[in-house]
Amino acid sequence: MKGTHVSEMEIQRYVFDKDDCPIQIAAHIETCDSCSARAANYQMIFSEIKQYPKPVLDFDLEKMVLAKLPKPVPAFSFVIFLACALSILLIAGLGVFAYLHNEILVRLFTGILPIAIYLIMITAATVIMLQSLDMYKKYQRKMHALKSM
Amino acid sequence: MGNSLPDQLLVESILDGNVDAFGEIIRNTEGLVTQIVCRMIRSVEDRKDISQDIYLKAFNSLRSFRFQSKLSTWIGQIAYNTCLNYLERKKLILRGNFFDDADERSFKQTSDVPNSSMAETDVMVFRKEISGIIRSAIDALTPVYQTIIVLYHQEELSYEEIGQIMRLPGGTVKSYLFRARKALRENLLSQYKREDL
Repeated sequence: MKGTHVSEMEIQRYVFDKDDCPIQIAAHIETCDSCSARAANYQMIFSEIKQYPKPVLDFDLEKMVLAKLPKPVPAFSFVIFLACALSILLIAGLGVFAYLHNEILVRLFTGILPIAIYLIMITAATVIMLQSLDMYKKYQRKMHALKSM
Repeated sequence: MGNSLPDQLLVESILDGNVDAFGEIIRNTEGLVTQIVCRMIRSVEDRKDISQDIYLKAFNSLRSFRFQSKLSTWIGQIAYNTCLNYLERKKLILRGNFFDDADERSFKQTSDVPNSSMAETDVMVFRKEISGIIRSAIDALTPVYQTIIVLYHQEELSYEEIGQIMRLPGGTVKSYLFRARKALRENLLSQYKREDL
């Protein structure tokens, strides 16, 4: 490196990507007055730029954009429609079955001990209650997050 | 940005019909978009329309966002493209001289070996009112060079993120950034010399 100066690209690499700069180049810049002055120029210019206040728009962009957004239209969900239709069909089917074959249903439960029926009912009720609580908590958390935005 | 909701939750919420959640996205990305718009567009009046246009485009395309990059980078990309389209429409930039030819010429003509008087002049530049001089030297750069400099040195984005915004490979970003810094330094020198005469 003696007798010659480093290129502009090497100076920039020394200033901005020092980890990527070969040791000989760095050593030259640190010992050469001309090259270290050029490196110092870059350092000064870009440390100055870093401190510049960032530009700010003189209008409320958020307000203007939100005012132009379309109002939400409840979307038709085919999945929800299908779930509702199937639920109605299922309940209607069970109702018709219970009406036509009520003696079978009566016989179904006569063989089981009352204590077993109570246990089944309590277990089912507990599972449904816990699931509902969990869903409600999740819903509350999401609503809280959205409201605090 | 640290306490904000994750991008995915925000996007899902907006797609579920919570339009107000888009305000959070605007607040999170307004700084980056303003930097791009202010560097690319000189007309203050047009900046207003373009900024709104950017977010309306982002809102309308939100369903197509695939989370392959950060949401802010994606919106930055929309901002950059919108500004470029504006400049091309107004014939302020043509593909041929997208990057200032003068910068290219000076890049080729300037020897890699500086003369000693240049280094001395460089030192003297910093005795002047640095801030104002640098500001006007930046303004003298092409919009693209200005943008690339502020994205890297002020917004502290990586080469990869700048590449995603400008749709350029990382290596090309590095190369443009090198030319932009060099052009800025030369602008500063020529400006100083002009003032000094």
